[in-house]
Amino acid sequence: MNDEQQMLRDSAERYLRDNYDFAARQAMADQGIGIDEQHWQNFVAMGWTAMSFTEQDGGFGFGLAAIGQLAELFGYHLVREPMLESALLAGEVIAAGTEQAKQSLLPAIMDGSALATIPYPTDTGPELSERNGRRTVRGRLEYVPSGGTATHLVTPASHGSAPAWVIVDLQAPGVQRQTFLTHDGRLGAHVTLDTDLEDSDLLLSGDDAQQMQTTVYQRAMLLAAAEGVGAMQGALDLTVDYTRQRQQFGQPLSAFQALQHRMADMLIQVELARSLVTAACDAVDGNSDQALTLSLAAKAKVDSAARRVTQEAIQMHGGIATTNEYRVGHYFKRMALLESWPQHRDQVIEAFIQGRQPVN
Amino acid sequence: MWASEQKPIEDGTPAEVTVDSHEAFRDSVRTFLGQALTPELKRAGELTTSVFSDFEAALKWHKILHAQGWVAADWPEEYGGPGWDIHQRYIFQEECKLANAPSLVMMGIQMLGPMLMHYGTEEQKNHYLPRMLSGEDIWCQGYSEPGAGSDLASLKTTAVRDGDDYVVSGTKIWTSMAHHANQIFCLVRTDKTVKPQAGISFLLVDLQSPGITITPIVSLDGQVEQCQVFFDDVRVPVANLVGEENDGWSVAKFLLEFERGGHNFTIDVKKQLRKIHHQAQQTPWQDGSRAEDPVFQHRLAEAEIDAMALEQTELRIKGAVATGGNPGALSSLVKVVGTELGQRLNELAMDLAGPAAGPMNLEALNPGFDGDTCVPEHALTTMAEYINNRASTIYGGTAEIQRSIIAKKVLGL
Ligand SMILES: Cc1cc2nc3c(=O)[nH]c(=O)nc-3n(C[C@H](O)[C@H](O)[C@H](O)COP(=O)(O)OP(=O)(O)OC[C@H]3O[C@@H](n4cnc5c(N)ncnc54)[C@H](O)[C@@H]3O)c2cc1C
Repeated sequence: MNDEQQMLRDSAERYLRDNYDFAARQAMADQGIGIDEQHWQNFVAMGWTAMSFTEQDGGFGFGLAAIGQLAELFGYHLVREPMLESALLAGEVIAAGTEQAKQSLLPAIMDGSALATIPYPTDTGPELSERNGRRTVRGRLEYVPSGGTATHLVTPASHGSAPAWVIVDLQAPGVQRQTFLTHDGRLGAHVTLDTDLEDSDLLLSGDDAQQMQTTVYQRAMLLAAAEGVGAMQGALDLTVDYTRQRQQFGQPLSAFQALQHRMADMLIQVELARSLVTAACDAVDGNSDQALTLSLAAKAKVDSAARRVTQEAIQMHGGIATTNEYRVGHYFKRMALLESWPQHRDQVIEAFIQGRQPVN
Repeated sequence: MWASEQKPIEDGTPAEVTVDSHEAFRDSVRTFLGQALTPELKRAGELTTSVFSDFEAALKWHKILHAQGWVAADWPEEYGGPGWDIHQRYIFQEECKLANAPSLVMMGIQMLGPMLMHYGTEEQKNHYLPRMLSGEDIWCQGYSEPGAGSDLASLKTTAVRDGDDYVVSGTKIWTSMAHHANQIFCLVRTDKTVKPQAGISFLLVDLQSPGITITPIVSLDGQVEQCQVFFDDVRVPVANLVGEENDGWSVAKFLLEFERGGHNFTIDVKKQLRKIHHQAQQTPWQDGSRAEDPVFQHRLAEAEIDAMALEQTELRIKGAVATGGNPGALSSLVKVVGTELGQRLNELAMDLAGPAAGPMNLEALNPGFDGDTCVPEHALTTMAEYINNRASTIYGGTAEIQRSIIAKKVLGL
């Protein structure tokens, strides 16, 4: 980690530890409130929405190595505001889009007044068509993450047989949302589009759009994996602390070797996953030809490790872990849902098989 | 392989459940279920995401079964049971489960009932057993406390003798269904001067008694099934003591074996498997469905093989019990295998649901709901089941405690 990264990490760690209160988070989530405005403003003030954009665009030009650190902290503190998704996924596409879109939207993403999200990858996406001089996008996107909180949707689309990316204002006429609370305390939505677009809303088309598809979903995968490392670490730390304090049979649970070994196994899993995620982030930042393979490996590793680690955390807590009020089960729920984001874990492994070097 | 004083599974006398003579019985159960299970009750069964179904539906079903004389399938005839043999009981449970009947609240009939038959006074039996059958009394189980979970014997809720009453103070936690129940059976401390197990008594307490407060606990899936129950100088007649004073531990141990051993995990697992096959057919994958995906099928087949091993083990145990054996530590073996396999099946269902596991759907999980749901029917309960079933290796004695019992009692370590 260089100095800048270390500073970012330290300040984020301090802020989240001192201010991101779990009980308050959960109270808001239970009421169906998508984001905590206070935190949102503070995240913006700390520059997190501007991290990944280039300096010309008004950002700090941080790579994935630094951003991964932040994602890990978000996982650890169970941050549910989709800030990284907005800035790093949707924002990445906008930054590569038309000058006009960039000028009107990047400042809004960076100052937090706009919150953009991307959908699950689709084979074809909604359809773009031109008729009587109007450009229209039509289609349905299901389970859009934070689709109930976002102001904008940045989505792949098909333009005839060519791929494209467009941005849609979710408040525009012709956009319908069916919003729902998800088990990780967020507001997802099914989004139905039948709406007109401005020229500048067509962000990318053709090969650029195709390329962006790979870049963005690879990033999404890595962000989720980095978040997972943080979530696993959080689940492990809680388990270690809890078993130290909880007494049964006249001794702390942590004194039972049967549990000690399993906590050691949890740590092993967390560290293995962390190694792959760090290597994958570095590979992406360095444009290595191993970047994709490492990213897939990192996500697949986090998927399986997180299942095990968060399940074990619940088991070793006992009854307390099954309550909504207690933190540890929320790691479990979040990681269960990240298993299929942005792709199903079996698809990730499938892609890994397709891409790996033949053994001779 | 089984080194020990206590041979886990007696050889001989294999219990073959689907013997021909019972096919007629199975048909009669099916006919009954075809008529008695209304669509709403079935819906409640389909939407069950934990060991408990929607309470109203469960109570309705309880009363229907009671009218038929079948509500206490395991009870002998003299107490109002149907007097079925072990095979008939299994068939009945299996048919109910696979037909999506709601699950009954089991703490009365399955847990306390057999215990009262064994330890209860005539008055207790005459008073409580009929009310259990009719559904007039709904029981909950007050064992665990904030400080006493696996180490149950360290429980602190006290009962102090005062004239013809005990005065009970303390708190019980994780009490399932306490918010619906009107009665609770409790383990309480009646002697603090002896070793922990020797100072515990078993008490029946009316939840309407002054001094009782019930606080619901919201579970991870957003629903309430457990509560904390507070006792603040609650007066309980001495006549409500079951067994001898300070002999509650042996009463409780008897009951725990019923809790673990009386359950047929194979039936739960079969229902889960059936659901997964169905869900796989409806889950698109590449150019077909997950039912045609060899990777998924391989994983599923491995779980099915374990389910078969579980079934054959349960049958061997039944064979032993039918010839007069006690399931003893075997109930621990089956509990570990049954619950952990159930959890693996939940994971397979999660593999199928993908993003559809996300939405919480709290309203749509209510059997009376008739609006639009935002996920396909086959994925409606997947995540809630995955979450809630984590508790199956915690309640009724944790998986760790069961393994300790096996190590001690079977392996003799
Ligand atoms: C959904 C649900 C429903 C329940 N319903 C009821 C009910 O109706 N009535 C009731 O009385 N109780 C009920 N319980 C409580 C249940 O019986 C307890 O949760 C259980 O006994 C475990 O106790 P605990 O939660 O205090 O965990 P603890 O005993 O604190 O255990 C925490 C962890 O430590 C492990 N551990 C403990 N001791 C050892 C050891 N010696 N060696 C190795 N590992 C050890 C445990 O296995 C567990 O993994 C319910 C619990 C749940 C989750």
